[in-house]
Amino acid sequence: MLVTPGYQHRRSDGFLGRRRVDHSLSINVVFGNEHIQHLCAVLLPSLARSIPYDAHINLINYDGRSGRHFTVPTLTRQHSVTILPNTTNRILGFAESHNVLFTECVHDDFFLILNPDCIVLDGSIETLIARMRSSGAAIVEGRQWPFEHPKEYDPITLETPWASGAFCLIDSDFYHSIGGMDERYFLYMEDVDLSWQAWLHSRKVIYEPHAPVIHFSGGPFYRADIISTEEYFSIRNFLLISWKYFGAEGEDRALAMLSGDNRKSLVLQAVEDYKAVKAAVTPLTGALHKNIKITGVATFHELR
Amino acid sequence: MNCAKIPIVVVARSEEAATAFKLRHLHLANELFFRVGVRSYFQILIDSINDTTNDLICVVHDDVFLPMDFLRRTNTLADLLESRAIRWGVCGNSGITPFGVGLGGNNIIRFVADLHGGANFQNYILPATSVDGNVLLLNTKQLREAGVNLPDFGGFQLYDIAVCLETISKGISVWVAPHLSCYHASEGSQNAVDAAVNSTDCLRFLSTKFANNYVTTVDGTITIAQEAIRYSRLPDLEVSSLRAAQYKNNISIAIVVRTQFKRPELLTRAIMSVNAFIASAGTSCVWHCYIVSDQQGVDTSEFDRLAKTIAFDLEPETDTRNILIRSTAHALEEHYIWFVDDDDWLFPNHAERLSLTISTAPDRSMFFVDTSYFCEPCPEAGQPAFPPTQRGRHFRASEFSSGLNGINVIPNCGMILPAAALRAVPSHCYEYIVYYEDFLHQLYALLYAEVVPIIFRGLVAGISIRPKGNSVTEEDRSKWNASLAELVSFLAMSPRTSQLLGFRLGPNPAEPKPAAVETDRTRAPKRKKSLYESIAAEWRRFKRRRLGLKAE
Repeated sequence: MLVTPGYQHRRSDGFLGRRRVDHSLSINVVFGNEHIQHLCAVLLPSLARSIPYDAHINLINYDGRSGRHFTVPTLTRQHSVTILPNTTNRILGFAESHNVLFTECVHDDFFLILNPDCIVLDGSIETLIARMRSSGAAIVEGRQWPFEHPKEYDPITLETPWASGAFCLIDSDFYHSIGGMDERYFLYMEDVDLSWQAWLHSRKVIYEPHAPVIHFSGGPFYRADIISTEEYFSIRNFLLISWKYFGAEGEDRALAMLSGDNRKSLVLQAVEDYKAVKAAVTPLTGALHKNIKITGVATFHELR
Repeated sequence: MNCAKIPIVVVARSEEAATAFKLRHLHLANELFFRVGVRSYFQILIDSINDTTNDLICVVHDDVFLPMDFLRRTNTLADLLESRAIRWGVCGNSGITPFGVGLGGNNIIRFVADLHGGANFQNYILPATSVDGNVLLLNTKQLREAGVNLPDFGGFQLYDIAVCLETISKGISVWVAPHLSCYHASEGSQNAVDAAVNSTDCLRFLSTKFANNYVTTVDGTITIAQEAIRYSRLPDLEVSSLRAAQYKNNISIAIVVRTQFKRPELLTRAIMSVNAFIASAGTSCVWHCYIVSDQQGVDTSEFDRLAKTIAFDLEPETDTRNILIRSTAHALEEHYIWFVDDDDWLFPNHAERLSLTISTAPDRSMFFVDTSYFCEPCPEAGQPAFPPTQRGRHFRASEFSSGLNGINVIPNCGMILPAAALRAVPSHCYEYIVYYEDFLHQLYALLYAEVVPIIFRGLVAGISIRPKGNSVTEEDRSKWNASLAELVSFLAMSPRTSQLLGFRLGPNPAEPKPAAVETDRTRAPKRKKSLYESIAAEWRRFKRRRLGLKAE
């Protein structure tokens, strides 16, 4: 559901009109103040080098309270950069930010969502687009380097249960049809939900291992003395997605899995927060696709 | 020397304790003020901060023994901190630093002797995340101006942690300094500490300051339940303490990639990562990226947008990997040099913290950082340089001192060296020691250049390991062994050393162990079965069950 208060420019139907442009692409990036240096010095130049055709790079600072002003570097004439002002005076979640960018900026058949701490490599985006066109998938995800996600994918069909939102190409019609990403997750797991929505709507989620992107992120950089927001929201949203897709039985199973978790304080806080959010979420009914599965705490795949 | 007046507030548990303190500190008689029988150390700190008649106040326990020149040294310390043109608020004689220092790689710095031990570091004033309260020098004027507001939680525990965290949260620095060293005649009460860490009001106060879920103190680790984790974006205590303490912004570091341009895809990858690192490092240091090579006449235009290339005119037909380091050290003007091989890469995640560490560390430091192997296939010609990788061995910066026992666990990209130390290495070493060149520079800096080892905890560099093309995986070890012969003879024959070779942390295994007396409790336990034996036993049990036989 696309609920983004504070944005006045949206058309009454909530979406900008899209036009079919063969060689044009929207690239949406949600960033914070901490990403500005990398964004300007590394990510945007890497995008400009790697896309040999028209591209609209759309940015939004998730922090509406203290967003810093900055000047983006001049790219080529083919690449326009739009910084959408965050007028909300609050922190936007990942899904909400991307929904804002989609409704305000996306005109094309598909669009790329990209984490602000990535470096895009030559040819990767074209590989994603080619795979999107040949497969008709709803989502095509690239491979992260050097920490490739160890989740399963079919080596022949490249189908995978879910796609990470760090670097993936999304079909705009599909995104529109399901109302964008579910903003109730706030952070993390909205990409799993988006992928499950694709499977529910008989659309495919594809992993493209030949489209690498540099993304220096993950476990090796976590510090034991700092509770990461990822940890917190992984627990809270694990409960939420279990409830949303599997109802009371899923909730019970998720709580049972968390009962052995030694992060007691964190789990308690996340459970309290989940209870507050849960009330607004009606569990889905009907048959689920085989790729919609929970294999562990915040784990939705088999390991390769 | 005329010393400015710095009042020393003695927190005395009784009149007797106050009298005893006075009698053993006659040399400080004019500076002493006593607070006797108070119930809250917090209140004393609050009163001190609010005391507008003094800009500096020293608050001490009644069981410390301050040396004769304490006042002079405290004045010197205040002048030194003022000269750094930073906002500083609290200084102590023991505390926790945001990076490891010295051969022990300690984060717990003690410029104090007490019933637990003595000093473990010398000479340098270091930034701290917290200090112990036995002696606190407070810059009360700065604390007042910054709005440092300490609630009164009562009692005599956690007040030091609370004032440090509150100070750092206001952007004011906290330091640990040798100038405040003393003898502290207290064993400390672990029970009191344990009781205090269950004091929920103070912990709740602390949990609103930083994102850290526990804080290390000289008395142990204090767990802080984070109640505001949900949507808050609290800062990291370590980074905040470093930011507040930053007083040098002219330290320059050259990240130097050695190459012969034989694997341009990997070189491009390395330089991209270096530039990403520099972009994330912030402005606390000045970072530059260089490509250095012994190959002249190579078209380097594709790299020009990424880095400055320097091609040295070196003797052809020789392995120039170490000579290239000497040439680079003499050609560059940066304070520090960080050599990165052309198949390595840097991670930008901890770049700002590392940069702040370098800018706040002592001037003559060398920095050890964590690195990791990543196994990957050999890149085929024309293939992308980003194949799937498998993370391998992790090299911890904190284990660097095993190098003094001949075991090198620090790869080349795992250390940042002062350029001056590299320039001081005798020239014949560069010529004879070709392999193990990183080990040479590391040991030379530690043994001869009198640098301060700084241990930075955090993965900063990745090292490519491929089936072919790595020196480290060469099957023929002749070149390695020949270089090791040169290295060991250089070290063993050097007339001037700091006698640190063989330095061992922990018990010496060469010492004879006391003869064991065999009793029922010390008798050798039953040998644990090997994995193979366990599987074989399980298999035998399985067969017996299948055959309907009784258990063995």
